[in-house]
Amino acid sequence: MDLMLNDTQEMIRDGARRFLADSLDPDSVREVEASAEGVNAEIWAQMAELGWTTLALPTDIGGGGAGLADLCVLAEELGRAAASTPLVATTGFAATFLAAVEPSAVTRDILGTLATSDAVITPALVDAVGRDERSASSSFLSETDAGATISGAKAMVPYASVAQVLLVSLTTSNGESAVVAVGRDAPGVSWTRHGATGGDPLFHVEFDNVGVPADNVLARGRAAERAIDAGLDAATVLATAEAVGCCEGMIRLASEHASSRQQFGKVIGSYQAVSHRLADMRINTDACRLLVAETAWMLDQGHDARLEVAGTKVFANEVIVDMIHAAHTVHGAIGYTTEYDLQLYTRRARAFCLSHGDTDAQTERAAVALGL
Amino acid sequence: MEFEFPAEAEQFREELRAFMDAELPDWWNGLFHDDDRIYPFTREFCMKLAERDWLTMSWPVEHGGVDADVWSQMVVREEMWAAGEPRGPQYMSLNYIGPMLMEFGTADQQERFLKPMAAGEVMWCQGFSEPEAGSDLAALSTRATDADGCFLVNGQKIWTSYATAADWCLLLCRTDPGERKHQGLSMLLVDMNTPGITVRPIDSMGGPQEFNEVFFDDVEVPYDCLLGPRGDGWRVAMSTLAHERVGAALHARVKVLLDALIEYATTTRDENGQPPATRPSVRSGLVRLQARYRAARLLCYRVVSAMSAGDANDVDPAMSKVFSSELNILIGNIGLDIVGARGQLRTGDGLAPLDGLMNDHWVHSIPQPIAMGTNEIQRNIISQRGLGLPR
Repeated sequence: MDLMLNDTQEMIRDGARRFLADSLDPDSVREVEASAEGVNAEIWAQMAELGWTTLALPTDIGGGGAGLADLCVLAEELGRAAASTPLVATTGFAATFLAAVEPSAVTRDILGTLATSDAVITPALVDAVGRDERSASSSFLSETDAGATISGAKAMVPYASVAQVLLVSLTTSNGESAVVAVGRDAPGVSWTRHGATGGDPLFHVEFDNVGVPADNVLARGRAAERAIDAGLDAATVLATAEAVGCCEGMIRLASEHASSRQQFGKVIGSYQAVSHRLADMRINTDACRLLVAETAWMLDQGHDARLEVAGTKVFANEVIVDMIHAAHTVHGAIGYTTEYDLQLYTRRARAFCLSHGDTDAQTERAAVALGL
Repeated sequence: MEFEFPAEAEQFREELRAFMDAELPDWWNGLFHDDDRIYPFTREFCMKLAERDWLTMSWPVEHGGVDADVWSQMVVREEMWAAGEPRGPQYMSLNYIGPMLMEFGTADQQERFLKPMAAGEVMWCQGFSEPEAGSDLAALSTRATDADGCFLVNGQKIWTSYATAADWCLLLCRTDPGERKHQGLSMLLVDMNTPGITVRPIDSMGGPQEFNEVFFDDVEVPYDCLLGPRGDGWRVAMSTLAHERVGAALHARVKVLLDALIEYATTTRDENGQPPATRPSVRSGLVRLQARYRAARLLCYRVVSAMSAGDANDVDPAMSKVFSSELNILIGNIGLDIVGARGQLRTGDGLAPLDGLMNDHWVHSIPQPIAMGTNEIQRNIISQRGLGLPR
């Protein structure tokens, strides 16, 4: 039992913190958010250059051979900087998903691209009319001797406009699940950006009789569902680590504000109504971080961690929503303005709580894992 | 990072559990109940632990310990707290009164007091709180004045657990009044059989055994029972309180309750023939508790991890204490809601769900955010020392 960061993790943390301090400031975050694509391609390219986007991929395909627990240290730093990147989509979901399905020329090709470039591979799982990533798909895969065709629509696909490949969940003609790799440039694929609360650009993607080679069907039935679960578990843990970073951002800003703002002749942080809220933010953020670390460690060890992934998400959702409003309350009106940085964190954190399994969905998963 | 106990510690846990299964009598139901058998049993139990070197295993060899690793010590705390603390008051001797004697005691004091502690033969109580000195402990007014070759103690302590059974009292009092309030305090080791000491149990929600008032009326305490420098009792006491919080494994009882609730929710049937686990609020409640149990455990382990890495601080134990004590409150309330109307029936009533377990826990959870430094004080520590907010 050792809950301290190891040397590698400290190196990742320090390196990421330095890099992000040098290359990203809140104004550039605002500019990216306001841009048409909503993507900071430069940061992602530099992260790929530094080997961070492939940190957890196996070394034999050019990855860093690190674990999800190490990657979480990086994700927390991204959260602290309010940086939005395809890390959760590509390194979290796609890389894990691709490693979980039956290896093929197509999966090797995509993983190879992932390992050696700044390519974005993104999940297209949320059905246009379904609840979340795990809901049955109303997009269909039809297969003939001539090849496969997909049609339908997906909602809230992150980074679709810059993705090389979309990993699309579909329903086959016999009612099975399947996941198909679809090139974003394939004829019949079109996308429009959603307006959304968080930092990741999300897209509504339509597939109008898009033809794909039969080999691009990466998994079917239970195997497809298991691989999606594996990908989503890794993505959920990584996203929670980012959210912990956002909470650290809120704590930093709220502590600074409470230490300088004076009312009634005293610094407001000397009032316990204020300081105890901050103490609770500190406790709950640390609790989230420890839960994330343990869960990531379990996944790295190959343990069944369904209960831990889902339970951590349920806890994080509950306490983060409280923290968001505590941080805003401590700040008073200034925290509501867009020129102030608080909203960069609180919007991301609120979007997190609704993504990767909302509270009801994750509660049900955890309840089943708990034997209820 | 590493999230497994060392194999030796896990093996030790199995041995300890087997020992406790054999030793805990059927009537045992935790420390604070109205039953005269409790304190004599805890003394016998501790002597048996001592025979196996398990009582003061964390102590250095020279003082009767075996220098056990920190995770084996955690195993002991968890298993004991999970079982309702069958060591009785002696956990205080092991966790901080003994270590305080090692830090501040004279060679004679160590010789005289540590041996009986290590043998499990002696019970101590802690005389700190007073009617007008709770969170503001330094405001205490019990006095030790110089008499004929000894201190003469006069005053009153309150909320003194175990005082009816204790042989000795660790007494914080004022030897040198008139200076600033943190100064002039001294720590005395007081024989509870000394004439002039009156113990009056306070009937509380937890029964008559949990708390007492202790009155000191011209109690003679020899000078050689002063622990640490005269007038430096505040520093001695603060070292104690740090040990006290690190020693708590409040999460361990939560696991026992959670397992009982899961079993209840899946194996019993409501009036419609359905297990309670089919109700959404029950599913949600148990999932929330399970995640919080993990978090409480990890916050506790972080304190130990940091200590063994030589990186201890005041803030981590404060966070652990707040989170765990409030989780104990939460599981009491969620648990009572799950078992429903009959949850108000007490242990022993044939209709009480889980034989009154949740009711009993709810009552005994009430003092947890108050004891060992109130959660308000802990939040002050977290916000001031952890976040740098002004006092």
